Amino acid sequence: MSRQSSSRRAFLRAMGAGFAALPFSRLLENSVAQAAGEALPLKFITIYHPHGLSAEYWSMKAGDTETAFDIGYENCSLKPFDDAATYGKSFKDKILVLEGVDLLSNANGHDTAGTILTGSRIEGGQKPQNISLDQYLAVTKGLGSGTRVTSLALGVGNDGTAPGLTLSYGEGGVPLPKIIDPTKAFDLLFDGVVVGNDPAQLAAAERKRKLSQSVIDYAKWDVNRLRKKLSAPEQQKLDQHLTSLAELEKQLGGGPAGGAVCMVPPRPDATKFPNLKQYNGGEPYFDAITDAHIDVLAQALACDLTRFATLHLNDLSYDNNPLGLPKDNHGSVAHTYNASPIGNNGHPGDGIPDSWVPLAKFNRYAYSKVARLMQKLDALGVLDSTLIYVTSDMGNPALHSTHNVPTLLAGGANGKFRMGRRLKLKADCPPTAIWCGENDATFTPVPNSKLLVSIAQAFGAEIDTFGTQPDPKLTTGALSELV
Amino acid sequence: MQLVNLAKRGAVVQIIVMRSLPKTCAVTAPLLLLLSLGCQASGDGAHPGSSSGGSGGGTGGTPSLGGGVTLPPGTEAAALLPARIRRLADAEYQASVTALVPDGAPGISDDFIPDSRQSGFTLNEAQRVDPVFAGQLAAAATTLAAAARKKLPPSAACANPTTDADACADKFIRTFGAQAYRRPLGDDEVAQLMTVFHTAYQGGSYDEGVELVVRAMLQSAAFLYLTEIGDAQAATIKLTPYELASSISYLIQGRPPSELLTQWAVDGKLDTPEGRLAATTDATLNLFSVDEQKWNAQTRAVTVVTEWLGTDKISDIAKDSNIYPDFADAKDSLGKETTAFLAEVVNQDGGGSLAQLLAGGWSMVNSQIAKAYGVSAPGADADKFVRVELPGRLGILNQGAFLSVFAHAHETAPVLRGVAVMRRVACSEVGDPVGLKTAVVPPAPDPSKTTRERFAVHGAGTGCAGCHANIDSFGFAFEGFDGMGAVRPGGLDNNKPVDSSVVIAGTDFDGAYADSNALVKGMSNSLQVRECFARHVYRALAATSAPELKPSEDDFVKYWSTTLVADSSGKLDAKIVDTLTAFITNPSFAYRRAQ
Repeated sequence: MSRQSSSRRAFLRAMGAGFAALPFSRLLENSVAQAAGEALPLKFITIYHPHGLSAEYWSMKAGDTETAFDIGYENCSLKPFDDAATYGKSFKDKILVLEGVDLLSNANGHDTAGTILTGSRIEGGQKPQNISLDQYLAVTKGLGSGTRVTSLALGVGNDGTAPGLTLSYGEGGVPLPKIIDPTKAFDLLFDGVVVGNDPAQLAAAERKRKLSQSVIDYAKWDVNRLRKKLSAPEQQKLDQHLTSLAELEKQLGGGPAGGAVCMVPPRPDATKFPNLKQYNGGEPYFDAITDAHIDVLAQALACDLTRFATLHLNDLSYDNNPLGLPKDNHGSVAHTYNASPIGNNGHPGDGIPDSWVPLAKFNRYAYSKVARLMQKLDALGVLDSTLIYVTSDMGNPALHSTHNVPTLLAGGANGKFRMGRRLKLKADCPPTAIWCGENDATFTPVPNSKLLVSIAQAFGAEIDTFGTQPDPKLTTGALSELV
Repeated sequence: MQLVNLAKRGAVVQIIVMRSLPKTCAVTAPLLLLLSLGCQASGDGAHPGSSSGGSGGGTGGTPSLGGGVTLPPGTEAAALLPARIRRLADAEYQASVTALVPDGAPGISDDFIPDSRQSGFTLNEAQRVDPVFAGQLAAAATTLAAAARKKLPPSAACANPTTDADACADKFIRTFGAQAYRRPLGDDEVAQLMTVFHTAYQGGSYDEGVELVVRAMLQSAAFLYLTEIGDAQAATIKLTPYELASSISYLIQGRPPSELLTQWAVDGKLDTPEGRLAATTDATLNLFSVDEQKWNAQTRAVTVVTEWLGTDKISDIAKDSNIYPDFADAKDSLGKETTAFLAEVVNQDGGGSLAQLLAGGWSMVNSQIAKAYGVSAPGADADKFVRVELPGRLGILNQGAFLSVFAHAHETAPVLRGVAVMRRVACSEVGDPVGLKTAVVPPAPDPSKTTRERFAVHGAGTGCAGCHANIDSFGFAFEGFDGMGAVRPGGLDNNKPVDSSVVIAGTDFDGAYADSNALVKGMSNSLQVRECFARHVYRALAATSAPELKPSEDDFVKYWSTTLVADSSGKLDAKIVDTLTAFITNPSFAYRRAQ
């Protein structure tokens, strides 16, 4: 990552050092690199989907192998990844499906989204105890510093910062809020970006930038003025503010944007989602909001405006939803799921097959959004340089189980992981003790910390541990199967 | 109300006035004259009459910081809050921008990220300006500044902007700035803002310059943070008059101080507990007036109570519609019932009593709530809430909002209800499963048992019993109500009779109670509960729940207990609004210590 390719270096030399300092030089830089056929910088997207998993229509079937498997059968929730008719091509060779990953949150399943990128327990249902991987890479390791937006947290319908609603956390597990309005996400990413060389447009953009810069200069001066009057602990309250102002400043970047694949997309049509908020009339628009977020995100990656993003999806709890599911997705789909041993951590019982289909439909809906993102990224030439981590907060949602959560890696990941495979990881309990619990010696989980370590290593971070658990073994080591 | 009490306290309230205000600066019209020439305070709250360098009465300050002010008798430095700042909460921001740009701001903070909470309260030390919020502030400031430009404030009027732009801008910055920053601006601040003005004025217009200044002010630290730091760092400090006025106004009314209140502060009339008490009852200051924006002491009290008891969370929850098909339609009304009830309680003479709040045998219901509760409410319709007697549903804890918030989506939650009542209402210690390294395993569904019977596994000889015997007792008392607060039909749960009788131990209201109604009656007479309420009011207004600040909390509780008045039957009771005002009449209110 930190090493520049030869064509990059040549490009920057040609443009001069001053130009390289402008954030938008990246856009051109990328198109030059792309034209030379080089790998683009690796990007990391995490997508959360609610309501756990219908394992019966997701897990490997008899006859499936690591590299030869069928996901096109009826009701299979992974079908969008092998559906050329809808998404232009099959993305079967761009996914890596992992069975048996555990989120060791020691909290209710609904509070467990906070463990996804932190690998941390959720202390008292309040918050995780360490930074999330996206922030670790983007901020701590500085991999987001070269782009206009260091990292982006998007959500559908709920802007709360409770652990069940938040994927991204700063140092110490401080939750980072999400943007739930696609037009606001668009403005953050694209406001002031001018494509082309129209002098009038450029002059207007330059004046706008100058005014904004003046406001930020004053705000920074004023925060520092106040900061000087405070004791050290109080000064910390303002440190985040200064960081945020620096981030706003970075977003002001001037200069024209260019490149074959970077276009400023139209601003999302806000009339398509007159209400945004869950429980307050936003539900019927969640599908439109999700699509708008994905389209903005795809274009932002193509323009290299950001390299780190999280997307917290929602369900479709309203009458006449496009899936034909009952209005109450939570009570009437997730809670009515009655699993066979496949979805029940191997525990006996036939389950109720009719209850598997509605949840599988919902899972498929979530994956269809991932496929939409992959299709867009592919068209823009950046799917191969993107890693998408898709998961939920629960495995079996009727039990609120945080074990065997549906885990999927997607995209080309610059070849860091071998895609086009399915892996069944170690079971939590041996066949001789299928009821084992987290406090038993027989319990052998595959904590998602190992996955986070693997992803960090793919980004060049030389770490061997990530997360906070009472037993350090649970947060240490990579998933060697991925590479 | 409190005038009487204060007289009884007598000697507690002597304040030593350090020295009189210098006459070099006119202090009679703070928002106009201070802005004009000759009175250039610099920085937050700094004002010409500052009193620092006293005899060093502080005992608990940082050793490196000497000096300080003389504290009122009976006030210990160690019991003071530290000198500090806090960011405006979303509602405070809304009130503040509305005061500045009256027509430009309706609902502009609606899409802001929700406040961070501490102990449920929105006023706290955890509010930060993170990148998303900074972006929201920038966007709101841009919108508001454009609105302000369309309808320029009188202070921006400039007869001849071509020749007098600088003079006009200077005047505007000082006048509008003093309103925005709630204090006069220093020359250094004015100079910085003139630079902002010129950036837009050059190549633009005077109006564009003014617009950019407004945009900058609304993103400044001076606007976004309330300070409690006095004039200079010292072992002990006194808040500046401007800090006093802001603090009183935001805490009691939820909005920036009026010009008149600031005037009182500058005149030194808020320096003493008597002065601050007089402010709460003064007809011209009218802290209790109900204006169209509904920022006043009553509505603040309602907010404090809803945040204390968590009932404001009702808007963020949903229920399983298979089990509670009426919840989605009733939700809005359930929240409104509780706020209407609270408003009615605090509007009573003397600000309403805690006993009424906890055990009043009535509520305010609309047609939706009447249906959910199965009562008749003549005169009520969907929008109109009327007072009805509810002998089977006493006080706020037996109302739908509390019972819904502290329940699961598909069933009641005796543990959530029990923990909420113990921690929030009784201030009883309750351990936490993670701290105890205990894995939480919810009892499995079992259609042959009542909820209580299923949760009874807690008590069955496991390590859980130690805590859960008491937690569950508090929770089981409410089992007569289902997960959205409706009375269980026929008193049955899973076709078996509900048992809501409990035995409470470890409190000052120990004993056997038949159900939650009997329990809240017992609690309404409890000293422990009354003090717990005062502690929560402290946390809401001091904007902190930090354990290390317990001495400050204890200091408040001690003071507050001296303000209690006996009712007609000779019984002491806590008044809700009076408990809020006790926070500002506390002698230590005006002082801070070094951190």
